[in-house]
Amino acid sequence: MDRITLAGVIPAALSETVPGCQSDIWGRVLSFDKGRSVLIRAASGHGKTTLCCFLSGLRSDYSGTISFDGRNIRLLDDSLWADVRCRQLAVMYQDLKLMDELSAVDNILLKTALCPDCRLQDITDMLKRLGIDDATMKRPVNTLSLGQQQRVAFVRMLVQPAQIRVLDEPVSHLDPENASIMAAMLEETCSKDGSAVIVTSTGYDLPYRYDRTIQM
Amino acid sequence: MRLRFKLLLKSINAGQLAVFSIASLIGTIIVLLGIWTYSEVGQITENQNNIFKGQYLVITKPVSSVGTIASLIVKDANPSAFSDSEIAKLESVEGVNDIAPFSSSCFDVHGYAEFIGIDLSTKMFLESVPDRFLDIPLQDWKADISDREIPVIVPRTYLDFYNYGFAASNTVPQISEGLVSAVSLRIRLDGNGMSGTYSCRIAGFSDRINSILVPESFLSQANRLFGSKAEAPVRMIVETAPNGFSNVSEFIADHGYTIEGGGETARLATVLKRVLMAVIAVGAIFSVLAFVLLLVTVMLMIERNRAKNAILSSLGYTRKAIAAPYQLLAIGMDLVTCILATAGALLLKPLISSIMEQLSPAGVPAHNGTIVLLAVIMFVLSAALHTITIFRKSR
Repeated sequence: MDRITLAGVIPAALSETVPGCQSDIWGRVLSFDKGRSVLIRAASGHGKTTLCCFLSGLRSDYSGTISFDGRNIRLLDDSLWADVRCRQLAVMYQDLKLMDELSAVDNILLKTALCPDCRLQDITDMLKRLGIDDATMKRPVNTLSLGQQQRVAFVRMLVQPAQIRVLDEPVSHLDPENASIMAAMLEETCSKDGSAVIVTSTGYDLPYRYDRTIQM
Repeated sequence: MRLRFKLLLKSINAGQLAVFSIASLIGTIIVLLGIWTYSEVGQITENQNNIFKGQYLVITKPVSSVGTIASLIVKDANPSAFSDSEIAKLESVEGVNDIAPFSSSCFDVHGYAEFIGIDLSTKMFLESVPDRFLDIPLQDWKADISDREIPVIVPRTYLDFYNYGFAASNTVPQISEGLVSAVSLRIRLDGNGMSGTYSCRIAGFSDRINSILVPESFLSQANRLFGSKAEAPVRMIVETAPNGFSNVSEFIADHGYTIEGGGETARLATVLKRVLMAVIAVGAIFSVLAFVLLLVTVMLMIERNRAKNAILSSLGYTRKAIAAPYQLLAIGMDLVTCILATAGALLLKPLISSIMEQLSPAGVPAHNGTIVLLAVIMFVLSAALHTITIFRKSR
């Protein structure tokens, strides 16, 4: 996938208010291209998470069209969405979507079982780089702090092959130091695979080199 | 799959699965043994001496005082005879497979027997029925009026009467079936101013028909040669369909006919078949309830794991992959239950066999193939239905 295009997308919940409001996304035509990085900044309640859910196919309660390389995503079936989520689109959700009963490593292995290029050693190296030691990474994630969970979800997003990476408020529970490490790891990965980056933020941004900033 | 199964195991309700296992085990054992018994009974029916096959009934009209007086007054009247329309009605009864009248001799018959110096003679009669109603091997069962020797079939009860009645009370030797050829039997037929004497060879002993039978072709020729006017039949032989007895017996009762012998056996067979069907039905109900219980248990697990399944979907797992651990769990439970039920049924089978052997002297086949085949069919059906339903519900 090289390009995601939004054409006149308006969430159903905002259909009454959007025509009169100022947004660079809702109701507009815009694209996210491979190799580019975008920061979407907005206060809470403006639909950042909603947009991420639309892009990943978890929700479809909107008007307008979202397309991947010109193909309307409403037409994708279960197996095509599975393929998109495995190989083309990597998402770090705001609610993290981790399995509470599984350890940090197992949560990541649950993802890499679908795209087995990544080795266990790579996973543990990445977790350690983000300050999660051997003992911590073997504990169930519901015993970890929110910040630690956020880093686990980040590694899970990073280990899969993708052309576009979406990060929904990735550093909301992190200190600046870990946020910088995260940004560096993202930079390394994207420079290797050329993937696009879409990051959302309420104001405390992931310190990344963005090509564009959009106010929602 | 390991991690998905690990997630599934954390949401398993062991109590519900235990109830399923017990219910399914009981139901499957009952169904396996019930159907096995029913199918083995079908194989036993090749043997005539059992109670499960379609029955052979000899039907007569009851002899009443009024009828006796009427036949004395009007010479040709025989109130016990079946008319053509009555026979046609009997033929059309649902459950009647085959029907034929008894042909009787309409001339004088005298019988003579000689055995180790004892001479017996009596006035008697001969009858015949179509060969398909006989319960003895039919080789050499033919005779012509010009033959000097004819085969006869004698009721087994006659031999019993002789051995346990006459021989015992007159201190003369008993006769086995093998030695019966040593008895010299002759018959003399008289009528139309002619007579003929024939040696008789006992071709067999019948449990089914309580009469002295000769081949049908011989009797029809003898009736033409020695006989007077042929009379309407007074006895009918009926073969019922395997499950037709109750309907036929209802018709017989409604029309005031009687069943000669065999009726009690047939009634017992009908009752036993119904009991067997009821047992199979109870087993089937158990099995269906167990099937539904497992399905509901798995459905509840899917419902409880809805959030987890949504996460799996967001990670890129297909619906098929998400359903797979639940399907594996159900198939595993089905397999374990079927294996245990098969073992249980095979252990209990000798008990049923011993009961069956009392009803069927020929015995019950000892092979276990039917039970194993049935278990495999039940497993495949159950597993397939669980797999399909779980997939459809795992959206």
